[in-house]
Amino acid sequence: MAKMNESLISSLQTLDRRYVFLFMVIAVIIPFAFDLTFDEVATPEVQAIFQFIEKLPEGAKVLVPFDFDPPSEPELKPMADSYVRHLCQRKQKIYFMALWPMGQAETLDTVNRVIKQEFPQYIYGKDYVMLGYKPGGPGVIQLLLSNFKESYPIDAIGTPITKIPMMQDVKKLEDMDLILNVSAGSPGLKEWIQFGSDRTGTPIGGGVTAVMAPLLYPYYPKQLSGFLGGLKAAAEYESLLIATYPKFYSKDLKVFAGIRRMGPQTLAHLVIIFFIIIGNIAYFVTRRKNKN
Amino acid sequence: MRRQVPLLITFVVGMIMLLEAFVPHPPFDEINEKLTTTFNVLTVFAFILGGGNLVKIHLGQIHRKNPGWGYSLVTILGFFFILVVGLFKFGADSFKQPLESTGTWFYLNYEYCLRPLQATMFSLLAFFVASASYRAFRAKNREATILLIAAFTILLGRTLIGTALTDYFPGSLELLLSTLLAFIAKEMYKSKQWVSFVSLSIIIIVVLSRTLYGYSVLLVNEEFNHLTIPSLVNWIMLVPQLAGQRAIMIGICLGIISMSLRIILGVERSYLGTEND
Repeated sequence: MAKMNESLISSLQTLDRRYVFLFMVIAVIIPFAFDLTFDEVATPEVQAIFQFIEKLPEGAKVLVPFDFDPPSEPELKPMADSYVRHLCQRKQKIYFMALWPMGQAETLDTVNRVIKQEFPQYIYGKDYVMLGYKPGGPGVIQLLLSNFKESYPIDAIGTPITKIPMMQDVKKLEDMDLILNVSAGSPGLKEWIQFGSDRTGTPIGGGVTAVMAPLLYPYYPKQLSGFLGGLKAAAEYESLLIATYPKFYSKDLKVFAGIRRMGPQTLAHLVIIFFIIIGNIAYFVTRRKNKN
Repeated sequence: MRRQVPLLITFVVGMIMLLEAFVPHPPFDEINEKLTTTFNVLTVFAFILGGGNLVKIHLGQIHRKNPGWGYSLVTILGFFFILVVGLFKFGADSFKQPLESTGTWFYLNYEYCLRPLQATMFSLLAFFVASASYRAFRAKNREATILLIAAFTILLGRTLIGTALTDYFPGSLELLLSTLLAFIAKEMYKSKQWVSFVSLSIIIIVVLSRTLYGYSVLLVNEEFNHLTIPSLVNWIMLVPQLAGQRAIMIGICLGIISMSLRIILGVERSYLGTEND
């Protein structure tokens, strides 16, 4: 028996990582196969940005820079879609732009899936506009402070800004009622706070990946009205949307990808917790044996 | 002269940008706007420089048939393919149509090549994180144990299991915490560290009293906020984590300020290159 225990402990210490991978695959597949979902309770920072958008008056101007690309899409796309859904529900004007090369492709994807399908009454140029990608990172934000047209003489389609109705009363960043940035790195939410929001006093909120979230807590709540950090926060925001607009939304997993993806993430976290525990048990048993 | 002129330009431009931050009025704001536009234009040229550099390096790899030159070939082919497809908007109905519109070759490449490839690369992280956590997260010393407990709590709190655990068993976290502290207190008693032992004992008594008081409140069907894993996660993020982040940020800012001043005043000249360049 003792020999068996010894060999078990030593095999746990040198466990082939392919077993870990196998557990991970199972943890991801099972929730998808059975549509396993959980109820989400919104954290204060998620509640804060949700309430901020709720309180914005109808027709408020919201700048929505999409600063991410496909690697971060599973985490950020659900929050980007939810923000756009919420803004459309509140009948606010959306100004899309991007500081990342792939940001415009992500914008177009959201516009096609959310605005064109769920809000056909939204008219391009009157209710939303795509300004497109601009290189320069913080330099572009800096220029928006004083002159929008200098940075964007034309939109993503090539229409001169002067001919777009909703751009007529937008001269500089200060004219925006809210900046809502979804970002996966730099330039991103941090740069928008430092170069854009802080200098103009324009309120700012947004969404970032889970690994970036700790970097933004120093700005919350004074400089950052609220933010979503990672997939869990995206699922929390989706739950708030469902709870606030029950007439329009139900827990439809095809629409709310954040809630759907939380199943695999929860199980994957549990697998990691399980392996951390058995790894430590094996470590302590071996250490005690070596001491003896 | 070759070094004096760039140093002078750096000093003048740096001072203007610095002044504009404190005096956002003419002429500084206008000059700043022009300089920022120039910076943005230069950024576009950096793309040409970057592209040229990429082609130069990989063509060299292919020419010399260095190990892995096949990857360089794929890079070069991919680079020129997407460049041509993007410049001439292949597949678009008109030149006015956005490059990323459905049906353009650029879109097809983005949707069916770039997106799955990048997503696959990133998805692999989940497996490596799991494997690395298993191997590296060991309570080998005091610092590693603190890190392990914090990471463990956050992992648990970020799943709904954390919420469920403390919702179904109110006060369980406080009881667990008291048990852990009691274990540490026992070790201190054995090693005769009396001050630490008494301090820990007081903490344990306070925590246990609060928990028991909470149970008495719950028994008469009134509300009581026992410590929960999500609230503990929030506390970790908003207190110790935030303090660490702020310290790092302040350190970085001081570093940036001192480096900027060194560059503006001409003390730091490494960006000019050496005399031989």
